Amino acid sequence: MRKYLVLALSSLVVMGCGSSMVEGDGVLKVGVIAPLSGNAAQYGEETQRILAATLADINANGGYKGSDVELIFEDGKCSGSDAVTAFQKLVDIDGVDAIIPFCSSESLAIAPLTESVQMLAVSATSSNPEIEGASPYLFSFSYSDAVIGESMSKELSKFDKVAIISEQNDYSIGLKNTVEETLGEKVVVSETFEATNTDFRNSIEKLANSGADAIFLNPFPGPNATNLAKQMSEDLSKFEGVQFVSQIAYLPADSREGISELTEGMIIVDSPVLESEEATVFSNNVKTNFGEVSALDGYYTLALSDALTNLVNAANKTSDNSIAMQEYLVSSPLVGWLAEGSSFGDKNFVPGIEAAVFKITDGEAIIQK
Amino acid sequence: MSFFIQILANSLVTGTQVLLFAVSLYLIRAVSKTEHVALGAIATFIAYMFYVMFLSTGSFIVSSLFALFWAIVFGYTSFALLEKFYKNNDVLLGLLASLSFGIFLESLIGIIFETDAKSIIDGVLPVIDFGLFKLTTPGVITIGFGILLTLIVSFVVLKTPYGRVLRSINENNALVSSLGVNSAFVRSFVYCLGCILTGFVGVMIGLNSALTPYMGFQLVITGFIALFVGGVNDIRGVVVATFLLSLIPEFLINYSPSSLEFSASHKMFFVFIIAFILVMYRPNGLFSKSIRKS
Repeated sequence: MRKYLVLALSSLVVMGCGSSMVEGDGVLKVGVIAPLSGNAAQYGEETQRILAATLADINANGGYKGSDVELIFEDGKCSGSDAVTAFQKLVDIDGVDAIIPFCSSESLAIAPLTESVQMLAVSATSSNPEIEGASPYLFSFSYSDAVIGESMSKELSKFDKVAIISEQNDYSIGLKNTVEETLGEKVVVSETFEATNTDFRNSIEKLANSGADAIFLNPFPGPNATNLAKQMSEDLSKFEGVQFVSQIAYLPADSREGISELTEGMIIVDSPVLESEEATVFSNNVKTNFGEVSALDGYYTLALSDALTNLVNAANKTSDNSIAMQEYLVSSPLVGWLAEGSSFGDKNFVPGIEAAVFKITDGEAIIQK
Repeated sequence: MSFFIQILANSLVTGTQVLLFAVSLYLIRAVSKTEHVALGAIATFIAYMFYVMFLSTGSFIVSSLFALFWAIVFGYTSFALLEKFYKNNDVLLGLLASLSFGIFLESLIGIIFETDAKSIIDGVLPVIDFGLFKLTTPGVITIGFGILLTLIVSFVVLKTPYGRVLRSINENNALVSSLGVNSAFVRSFVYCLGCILTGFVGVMIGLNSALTPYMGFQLVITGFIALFVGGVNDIRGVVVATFLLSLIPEFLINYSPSSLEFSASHKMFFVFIIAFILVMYRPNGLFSKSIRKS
């Protein structure tokens, strides 16, 4: 009797092991690597809110084959090394079926790992052009920085002398490089500072002394951007007649609090605006029921929603197997607010996205084109 | 010309911050033979305590007293931590203990306050116009108090009996103790003074720009280098070395041709190059006299 009991229990154990080794275990788990601490923590927190809102809609509509989809968050700190650690934990311990990375540095760091373990990673916010071709398992619903860089260069090319100040991170350096390659000798000064730096006054003095007609402010969005702007605002007389140009760092209204004199008239190049009633309803629902979203308002709210929606859609059409989901994504039309009907094909970025140009007028960001 | 003067003024602010670190390291080394590298993290912690109290009360005086309290706490903590290494003449272990304590403090700050930059003062700082250059109020206070404190400390160390006692403790502790000097009390006092000086720097950095958990690290490293480049037993050398290591890199960065693309992120590269050159030509300190071999 005991012999048969042991045999039966052993069979159950083997079947249990076997079923988890066979790809797809009937539960769709999506890992999210986002900066939950550090200078970019606001983005991580807003990502949690947007994905929570999307998840609520998805699970209310059946989730993954009738079961709830699960999200597991890990802190990538917008750093490659921390993202790799988070990736390994999500894959090896949590057993996720797909991953949503946030920062470009996180996506680029895990790109080789996604290929080696065949783990699908779909970002909504990673925009470094190096993502293109980095891995057949890494995609992004963001536009490439090359798109922003081209539009930025177009705006800056109207001026004879351009100065740039950039923070040292993948996003800012990617934009800086694109602008420098396009403008060539028009760039008279290009300052960079480390993310841990807090005193920019000598760099600001160098910008003011450069004789530039336009200054491209290129910090990473967050406290460093605010700090840089505050220190520049201490003596704006140095910058009379200079046109300031920037990216997303100064687009949200709360990022311009206390520095309105500097930002008035500033040209900002960033993601496009989608004018859709349903999209607006969704965005408002996120803010009302899940918490404030300001830094990721607009395009990125919808892109994050699209990333998760398409992952679940791919799983529902195939299975919770990463390889099958990846094959579906590259060959089938996408769904969602921004990507409806388009397809990744052999690209890693969703095609057809162009940048928008805003101008700060009377404290408001008014779209120009 | 105004560009030069403004760069000089801005660099004097950061140079004075490093100076107070270097002087503190000098004083502590003078009485305990230990390089207390945890001063960077201690200064940061004190600054965060000022920030917490200022957020609660909005009062500079209350916040300053709270920061002073923490400086004294850390002074006695440092003394308790490092005294036994001094007594056992374990200089290297003392350095390691200090480094470990500093890393622990920085990590604690990162956990409690998170790693994003925090500003004590909201909004744009007012600047004082000196004609050829402009400085913020915290910047002016940093230079003014920093140089005054350094002059006072230098005077006491070089010209007063107290300074002689301080320098004697390092050379012959037993003899000094036999003369009735409580060397343990002197060491604990110096540790507290070092924490107060560096805590002042931390608070000024928080007021002048922003607080981050690791802001003290670069300052204490530069101060540490200045201590050895200037001469560990010569406060004049330490002062001069500090300004050489703080000012020259700034001018190299800001006056370099744009084709070289030197910027603020290359500062420590220049600090180490200059330190190397100075050590090669003056290995015993900037004002060392060559010792005739008998």
